[in-house]
Amino acid sequence: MSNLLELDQLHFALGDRTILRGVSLHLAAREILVIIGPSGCGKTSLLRLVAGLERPASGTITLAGTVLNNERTHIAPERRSVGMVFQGLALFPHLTVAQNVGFGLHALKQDERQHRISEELRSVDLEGLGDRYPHQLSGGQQQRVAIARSLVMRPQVLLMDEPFSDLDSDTRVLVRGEVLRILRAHGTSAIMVTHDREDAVHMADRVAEMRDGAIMGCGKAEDVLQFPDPEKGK
Amino acid sequence: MMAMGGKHRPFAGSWLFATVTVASVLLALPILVVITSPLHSAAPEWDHVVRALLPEHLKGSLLLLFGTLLPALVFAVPSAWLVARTNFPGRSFFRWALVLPLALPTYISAFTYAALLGPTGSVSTRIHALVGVKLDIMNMPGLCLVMAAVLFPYIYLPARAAFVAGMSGQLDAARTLGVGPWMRFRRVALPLARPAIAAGALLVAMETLNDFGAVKYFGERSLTTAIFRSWGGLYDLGSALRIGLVLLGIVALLLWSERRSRGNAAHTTDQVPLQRQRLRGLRSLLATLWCALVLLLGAGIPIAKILLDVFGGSITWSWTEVLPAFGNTLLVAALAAALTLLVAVLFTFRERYGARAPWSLHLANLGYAIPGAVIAVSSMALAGVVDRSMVLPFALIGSTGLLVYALTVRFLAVGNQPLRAALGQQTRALDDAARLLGASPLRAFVHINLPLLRPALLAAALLVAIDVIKELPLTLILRPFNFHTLSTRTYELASIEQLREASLPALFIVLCGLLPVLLLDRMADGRA
Amino acid sequence: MRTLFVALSALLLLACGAPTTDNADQPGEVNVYTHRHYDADKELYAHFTEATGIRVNIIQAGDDELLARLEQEGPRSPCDVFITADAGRLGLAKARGLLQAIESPALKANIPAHLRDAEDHWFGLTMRARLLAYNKDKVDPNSLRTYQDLTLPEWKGRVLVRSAENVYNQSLMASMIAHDGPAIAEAWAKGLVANMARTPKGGDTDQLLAIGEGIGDVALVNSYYVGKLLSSDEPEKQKAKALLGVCFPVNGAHGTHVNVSGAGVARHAPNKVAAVALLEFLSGDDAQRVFAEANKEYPVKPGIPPSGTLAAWGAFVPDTLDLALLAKFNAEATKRMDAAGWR
Repeated sequence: MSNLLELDQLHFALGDRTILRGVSLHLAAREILVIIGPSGCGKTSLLRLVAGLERPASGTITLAGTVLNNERTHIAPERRSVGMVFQGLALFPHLTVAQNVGFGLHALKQDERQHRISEELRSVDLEGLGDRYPHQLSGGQQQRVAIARSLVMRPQVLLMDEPFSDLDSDTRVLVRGEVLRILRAHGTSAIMVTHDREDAVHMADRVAEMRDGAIMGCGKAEDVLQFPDPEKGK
Repeated sequence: MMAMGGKHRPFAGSWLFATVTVASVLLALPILVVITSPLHSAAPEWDHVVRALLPEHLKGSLLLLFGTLLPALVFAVPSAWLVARTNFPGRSFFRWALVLPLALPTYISAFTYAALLGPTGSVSTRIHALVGVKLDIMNMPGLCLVMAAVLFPYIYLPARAAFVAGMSGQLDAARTLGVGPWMRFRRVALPLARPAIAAGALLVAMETLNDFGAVKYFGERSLTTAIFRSWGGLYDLGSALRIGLVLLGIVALLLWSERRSRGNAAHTTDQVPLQRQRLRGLRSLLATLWCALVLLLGAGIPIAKILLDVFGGSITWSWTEVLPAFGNTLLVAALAAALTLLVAVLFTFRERYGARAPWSLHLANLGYAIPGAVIAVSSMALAGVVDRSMVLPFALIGSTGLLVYALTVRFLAVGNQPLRAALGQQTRALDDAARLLGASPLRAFVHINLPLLRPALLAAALLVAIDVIKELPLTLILRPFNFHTLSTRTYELASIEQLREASLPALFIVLCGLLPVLLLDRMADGRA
Repeated sequence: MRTLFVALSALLLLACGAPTTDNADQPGEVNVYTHRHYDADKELYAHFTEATGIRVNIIQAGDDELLARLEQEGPRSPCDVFITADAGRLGLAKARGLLQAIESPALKANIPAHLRDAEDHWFGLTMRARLLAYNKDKVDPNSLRTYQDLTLPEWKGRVLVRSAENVYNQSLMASMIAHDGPAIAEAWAKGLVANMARTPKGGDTDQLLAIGEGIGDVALVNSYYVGKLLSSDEPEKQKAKALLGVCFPVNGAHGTHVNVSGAGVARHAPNKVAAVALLEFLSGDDAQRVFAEANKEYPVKPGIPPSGTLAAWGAFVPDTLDLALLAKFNAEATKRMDAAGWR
C-alpha cells in the first residue's frame, strides 16, 4: 500500500536544543493518526515541520509522491495542500465566521466562494452562523469553524494540534465525536497531536507515542498505549 | 512551550522585502553618518572634549535619565491603574486629561516653571516675601521633575491600555485566591504590563537624552548640551558627532535591555467584561487627589501660566502670522506622520515575516535618541552630496521633502514602537493559520495582522504628529524660505528672552496638539 | 490599503519636488539666512521691499546650523545674504569660503573700519557691549572699572553670569586671549567662577532679575537685554528695573568688549546686486535708527544716536580689537572656560 504522507529521518533543533531526533512516520489515505506524548516531546514541532512552518535540519517529507522537504527543497506552507487546526484555534477575531472560512478561497469568484463557504458551513452544522464573529460562538462552535476553515481548502492532510485542549470535559467528549464524524464524512487524512489518552483511543486509526523527540511505538491504540515498544516504530 | 524565533521561520523573500531593506538603509543613512563620524570627520578638539566635557556631561545625562524615569513611572503607572481598574470621582475626566501634558514641548514647560518657581519666579518671590524661604526649581532635581511631569503620558498610555485589556482572567484568578487589591496590582498586573511600561519608558528615556532647550535653560549639563558646546564653542562638529555616538551607545543599551525585558509574552484578548473596583471613602479621595496632582504638574500649571501671559498682558499678534504657521505645522505633521507610519508598517511586516532583520532596520530606529539638529546636519550632509552633483533638477536642501524625510528619521521609533508592541501581542498562530490557508506573507499581513493593529496604527500616527508639532531644531534649519511653524515662531521669541510674547504661539502648539492627544486617548485602550 | 500607500507615496514625491525657492535667480528677490529673530528685522525687510521692490525671503535658524547648510548647498545655494549676531561666526563663514568680497563705497562710508572685515567679506550692522548691571543700593560703580575687578575678593558670591555656552561670553573670553594670552585669560575666568553667586543658569534677562531678588549684586550681560528690560512694562520685571545701574568695564588698557551683528554676501549668491543693496540699506540711516530704537542695539553708523535708554548710561570706549580675532580664538576660549570650570 502506498502511503499518502511519508516522514523519513526528520531531525530538528531550535537553537542548541534538539527537538526531533530522526523521526520516521507514514500516513495512509483516509487514515487518522494520533501522536501522543507529554508536553515538550516535540509533537507540535513535528506538525509544524509537516506544515512547512519550520524547516527540518535533515530528513525528507513526501506528500502524495511530491517531496516537500529534503536537503535542497522547502515548499512554502501556502503551497503544500496541508491544513492545520491550531491549539487555541487561531480564528481571525476581526473576521466573521464566513470570512474566516472563506479566507483561503480569495482566488475564487465571488459566487463560487459563497457556495463553497455555505456548503462547508452546512457540513459542520454551522448554517446561519456565518455572520457571527468568533467571540460570539461557543467553544464547540469555534472548534468547528477552525476545522471548516481548513477543510474548505480540501487539503490532502489535516493537522490538528491539541484541538480540544481549551474545552471542558463534557464538551470535549461531544466535540470529539463531531470532529470525528466530520473527518470521516470528508474522508480526510489527518494527524492529530494530543497528550490525552482518551482522545487517542476515540479518534485514532493508529497511534504513535512520542517521547524526547523520538517515536517510541506505533500501532493500534490498545497496543501502543498498553505496551510501549521503542523498536516497533521503525 | 515553543520559542518561535524569527530566524527559524522560513525566509519568504520578495520584492517587498527588498523595498523594505532599501527604505531602511535610506533612513539609517543619517544615523550612519553619525556612527561613522570618527572615520570621516576630523575632531581636533576631541582630547579636550574627553578630558573636560565628557565626564561631567555623561554624568549629567545619566542623572537626568534616571532622575526623570523614576518620577515619570511614579506619575504614570499608579494613575493608569486607577483609571483603568477602579472607579472614583473624576475618573472619566482624568482618563483623557492625563494625556494632555503630551501636547506641551518640554522647553515651554521648563520656561513656565522657571518663571513661576525659578530663583526669580513670581511664585518664589512671593513665598520668599511671606515665609522667607527661597525656592529654586532650576537645578537637576527640578529639571527631572519638570521633564517627568510632561513626559509621563508616554508611559501612562501604554500602561493604561495594558491594564484595561489582556489581564482580566489573571486578575480574577488572583481575586479568587484571596489576594487583596494592592497585591493584585503588584504581583499580577504590574508584571503583565511590564512590556508596555518598558516600551513607554524607552520613549521617555530617548526624549530626555536628546532634550536641549530645557536642559540648557536650567543650566544643567548633558551629552546633548556637550554636543552644542563642541559644535558652537569649539567649532568642532567632528567632536560633536562623536558625542552623539556616545549618546547612541547609551540608547542602544537601553533598547537592548527593553527587548530582553519584553520576552516572548503573547497576550490573549479578554473574554471577560472589564470590572472596575469602586473605591470608597478615603481611598477614592486619595485617588482623585493623586490624579489631580499629576495633571496639575504636567499640564495645569504650565497651561495656566501660558493663559495668564496671553490674556493678562498686551500682546500684539497678527492672524496673518498665526494662520500660515498653524497650516504649516499641520501640513508637516501630517506628511511626517504619514511617511513614518508607512515605513513603520513596512518595517514591522519585515520583522514579522522575514528572517533576521537587516542591520539598517535596527539602526533606523535610533534616530529618536539623536538631537534634532544633529539629524538635520547629517541629513544635509547626505543631501548636499546629491545636490552638488546636480543629478536632480531641484535642490533637496530646502525642500519640504528633505524636511519630512529628516523628521521621519528622527521619529521612526515613535511610530515603530507601538506597532511592534501591539504586533508582539498577536499570536503567531494567526500568521501560520493564514499561511496554511494559502496566503502569501503580504496577504497574511495586510488582511490579518494589519486590521488587528488598527488602534496601534492610529496611536502611532498621532504620537508622531504630536512630536512633529513640538519639534524645533530640525524644522528650524531644514525648512524652506519663509516657512514658519508654531514651534519655530515660539522659539524665535523665546530665544531673545521675550517669553511672554512666546506664550501665544506656545498656546497654539498646545491647542494644535490637543486634537491628536484626545484622539489618541480614544484609541489607546485598543478598542477596534 | 495598497491605494492608500500609493496615494501617500505620490503625496510625498510631490512634497519633495515642490519648488520651494522658486525663481531664486529672478531679479527682485533676495534670500537671507539669518540667526537674528527680531521683529525689528522683519520690519526693516518690509521697508526694504517697499523702497526697492525687492522681495526678501528668510530662513531663520541657529548660526552653526545655517553655516552647515550653506556649506552643504555649495554652488547650488540659494542664499544671498548671511546674517548673524556674532563676529566669530562671520569670521568662520569667511574662513570656510562661504562669503565673497563686496566692493561698496556706501558700506565703507557707513561702517567704521574696525567693525567690518578687512577684506570686505562681512560688515558689522549693530553693536552690543558686554557690560555690567549692578544693584544701585549695594554697589559703587567706581569699584567696577575693569572686567578684572570682578575677580577681586570683595565680589565673592556676588557675580551673576550665564553659561559659558553663550556666544557673548565666549567672544569676551576670546578677546581677552587675543589681548593678554590664554594663561591670563584662564586665570581671569577662574577668578570669575570663584566669585559667582550661583552656577550659571537662565538667560541674560534672568541674571538681571536675579539682581532684583538679591541673589547677586552685579551681572555680566549684553547691553541689548538691559535696554529691553529697562523699557519693559511687565510687572515681574519692575523690581529689577528700579534697582539696576549700568557701567562699562574696560579690559585693562583696552575698551569695553563689543561684538557685532553683521552680514556678508554668500559666495554663490544668485542675487548679488540685490544682496549688496540690502546690506547698504541695513547700514543706512533709517535702518540704523530702527536697530537703535526698536531693538536697543548700538548703531554702527557714526552720527546715529543710540536709543534714549542706552544713551542715559553715558558713552563708552569700545575695544577696537580686530573682530576677526574673535573667530580665531573662540575654540581656545571655550577650552579655557571649560578648564576654569565655567559651566
